[in-house]
Amino acid sequence: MAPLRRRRLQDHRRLSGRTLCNLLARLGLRRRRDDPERGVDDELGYHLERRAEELIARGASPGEARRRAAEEFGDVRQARAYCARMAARVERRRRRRRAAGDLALDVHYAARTLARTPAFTALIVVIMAVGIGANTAVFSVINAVLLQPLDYPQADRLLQVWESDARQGSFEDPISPLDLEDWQEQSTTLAEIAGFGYEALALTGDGPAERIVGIETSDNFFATLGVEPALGRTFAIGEEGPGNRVVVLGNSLWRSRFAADPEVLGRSITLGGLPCVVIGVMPEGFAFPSAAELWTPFTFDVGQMSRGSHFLFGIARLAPGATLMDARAETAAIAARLEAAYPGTNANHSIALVPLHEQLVGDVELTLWVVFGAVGLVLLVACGNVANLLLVRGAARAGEMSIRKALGAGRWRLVRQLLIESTMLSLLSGAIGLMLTAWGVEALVRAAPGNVLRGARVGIDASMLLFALGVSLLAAAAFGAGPTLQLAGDRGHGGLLGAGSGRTTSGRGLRRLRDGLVAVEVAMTLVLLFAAGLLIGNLAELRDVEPGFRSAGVLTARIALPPEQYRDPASRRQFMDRLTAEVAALPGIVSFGTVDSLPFSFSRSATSFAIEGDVESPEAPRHADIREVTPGYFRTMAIPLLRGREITADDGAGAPGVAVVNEAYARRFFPGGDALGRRIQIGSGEEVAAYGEPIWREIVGVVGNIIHDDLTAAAAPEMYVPYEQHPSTRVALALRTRGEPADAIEPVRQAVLRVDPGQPVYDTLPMEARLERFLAVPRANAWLLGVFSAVALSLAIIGVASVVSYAVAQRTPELGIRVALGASAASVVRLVLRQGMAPVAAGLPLGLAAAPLAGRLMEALLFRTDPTRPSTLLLPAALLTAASLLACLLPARRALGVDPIQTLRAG
Amino acid sequence: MARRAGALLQGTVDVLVLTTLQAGPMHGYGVSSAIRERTDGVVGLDDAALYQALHRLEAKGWVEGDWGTSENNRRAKYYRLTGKGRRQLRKEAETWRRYADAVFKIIGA
Repeated sequence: MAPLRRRRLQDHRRLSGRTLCNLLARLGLRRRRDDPERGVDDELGYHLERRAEELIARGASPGEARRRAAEEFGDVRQARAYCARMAARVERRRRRRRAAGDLALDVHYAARTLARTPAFTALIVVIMAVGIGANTAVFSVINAVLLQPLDYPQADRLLQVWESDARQGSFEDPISPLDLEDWQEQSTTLAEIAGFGYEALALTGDGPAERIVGIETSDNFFATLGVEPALGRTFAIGEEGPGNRVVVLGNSLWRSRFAADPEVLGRSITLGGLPCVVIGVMPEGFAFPSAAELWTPFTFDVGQMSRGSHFLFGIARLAPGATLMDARAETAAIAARLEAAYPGTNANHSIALVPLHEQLVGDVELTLWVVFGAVGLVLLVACGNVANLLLVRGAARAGEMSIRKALGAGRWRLVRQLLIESTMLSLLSGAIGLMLTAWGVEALVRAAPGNVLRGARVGIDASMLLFALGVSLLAAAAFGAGPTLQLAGDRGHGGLLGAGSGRTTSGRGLRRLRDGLVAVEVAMTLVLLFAAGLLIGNLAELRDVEPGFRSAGVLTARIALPPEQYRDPASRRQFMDRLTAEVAALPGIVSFGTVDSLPFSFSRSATSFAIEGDVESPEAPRHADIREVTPGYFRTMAIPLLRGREITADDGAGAPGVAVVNEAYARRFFPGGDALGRRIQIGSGEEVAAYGEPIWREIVGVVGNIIHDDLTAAAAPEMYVPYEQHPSTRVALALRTRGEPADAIEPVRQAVLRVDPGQPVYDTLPMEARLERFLAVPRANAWLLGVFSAVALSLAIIGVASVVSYAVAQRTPELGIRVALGASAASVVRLVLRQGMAPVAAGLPLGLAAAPLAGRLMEALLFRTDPTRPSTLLLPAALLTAASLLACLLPARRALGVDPIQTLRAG
Repeated sequence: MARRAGALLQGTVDVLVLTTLQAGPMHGYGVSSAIRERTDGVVGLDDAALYQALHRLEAKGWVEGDWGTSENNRRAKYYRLTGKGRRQLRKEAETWRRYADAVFKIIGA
């Protein structure tokens, strides 16, 4: 019985001893001296002693006993060395385990701390998740659009090619097919130059008639891009020109219209009323230009075209070894040769080469960087806020920290504890932020008009994960630094003394740190508000631009007549006559007219022309936009007639040639006198088709300017000619309706189908919607920055409010005494306001100084708004001040409600 | 050849130590006495080999050592079997039993 009890007792003692040791070790109190060699010596020594004692008890002399014990033991020296080696190994392992255990313990402890204050933790996680999520979303868009190369082999060698006319101030003009052919022949630095043009095509048969975006290309188009089809083949060299009725399908059209049928190869489909053989299907994700749904080779005969007619876009691939500089030098020489050879059409024409990636992202690049900068500022404000919240809690935890420090926990251990807490907060936020990211990218891509955010994927990929992780860790370092500094600065044991009463000392340093954080938040928020204000003002100014026509109440739609089917100008006139009759018969139509290119419809056409008796430079080709209209167009669009007369039904095919010009045209080309009565000759393909050669047209009227598609630019010179005298295959309808324009969509569609069942109308939109569409980019910018600055503002307000309420809570006894001593309500409020507005007052000048810099960066995004105008600065400052005052109100009310008796008693 | 004999011996010592520790935590001296008692001194295990075995087993993670206070109130290192050690012992004991059976079959037959 006795030995058993003894053993239990020992076990117990040993157990509790170990637990205590562990506890002390964890608190950092016991410095373990686990020297393995010393341990072995102790152990072996103990053995020898015990054996000797036993031998003595049996009657041996002490000397004899020690000798026998050693003898029995064997080779002590060798055993000692071996054991020490093993013990060292054990010790190393133990140390590793202890470190891991400590970390696990810290993590566990941090998790418990965070879980103990769920509301506080949730607040921080929400703030940071929004910050990290928004940043990751914007980053992933930037990564996809700006940083990733285009998805073509050696995409950095691809260029977009334009003609430019320096004298007209236009640098990115479409190309004449004849020029393109000459460039191809003469250039050695460009391995391939390909041309392409857009054509809206009716796809009929196999289901309802559908309007699709077809791309007409030169035979080397796919070779230039370096892409291979997923099925079949692309165009062979030489496979262009009249009679080449083949088509390559885009992947999405193949899926939607042909159910991804691989048997589609060799099938004939009806495009624009004519049969066309499918020879290939492009791989998924390929769409160049981005709206393309299918590709056909050029069906025109280049030899039949006029050098003055410019309608192609160009891409080129640099030859191996050639640089962009080489190519620019060479194309300049080529352009000069063509200018000398064809002065009538090519005077002042040069060739512009732009890297394709730059061309595609050019417009979006600055916008994206501005948005990225803005969202980065939001994250910084969020970090500042979280740091602030942690500082407050840090002050509340000063007691706990003091106790741990008093128990011997090293400062490093406590700092590590705080860093682990902020890292956990940040990683948790990052994980939730990533979930928000997928949604955010989708929202961004949707907010962006058209295809500008090409290739932005909505999935979560490795680069996004890495970015989110990086941002989370940086944020953890940023907002974890505050409490750490606070801990490092807290040298005394004041916290320990105050811990019992629930009050803690909070040094002046802490207050300054928190005020500083709020001041920086205020400054950054001011910059964001300012930037958002600029973009909103910009949007408003764009909206206020008078386009020169009245869009309200006007419905528009487009038709593209297939040139093969409507080759004869007479057939086009016939179509127009019947269309006019059908539409005129519709109820609720006030007026109706057609034009080839509607304003704000992504289409325009220009042509060269000559002026009779042009003495200034008889050889120089002049260029201006040309519109062919039917008589009701000006009335429908409410474009005012300034002088002379409008185009009427009398200006038919057999009547004398007439033209109406706009004010900008009259000013530009007839600066001296009135344009009325002067004669011009138009060099367009339609003119040649209708009359065999250009005819003289008399300018019979001058109308008001309209803005065709660029709200930020001045109106361009325009010539209007009667459709009957200049019939093309592009027809856009404009109808002024009595009721809602959208109500007329279906009747108009039916009317057109009654004229030709193979011609679906497309792009049917109220004119107002077209204008709105052009405001989409500036609106998206204003909207994004608006949201970001609103988030930053609310965060900054939370920051101010937390500083003030903390100060009020802390100074409650003092306030009680003041009230007891007869302080007025006004003086108490003043005291609170001073507390809250001090960091705001410090932050405002900072922000005011930084804002103009941000404004300068954004200048290219702005139309007329002057980024340095004082009013754009004052408004955000006033808003921020007012919001901060509001944030102080609640704490101030609490301060006024302080009961002096109670606080004095509690104190 | 000598190394192999040594290895065999080492294995033997390991099994003996593990078996002894099955009774509960013990310090090295305790293990030594227990083996001497139970084998009536027939197995001439020298203490140097015993301690080397204890430390080797600790390094392998089969036993765990911890400092405690001995019966006569002195600091001593106690060893106890770990889960891993217990599993190892079962395996080694089985091997031994089969080995011994085989030897018995030869010499007993």
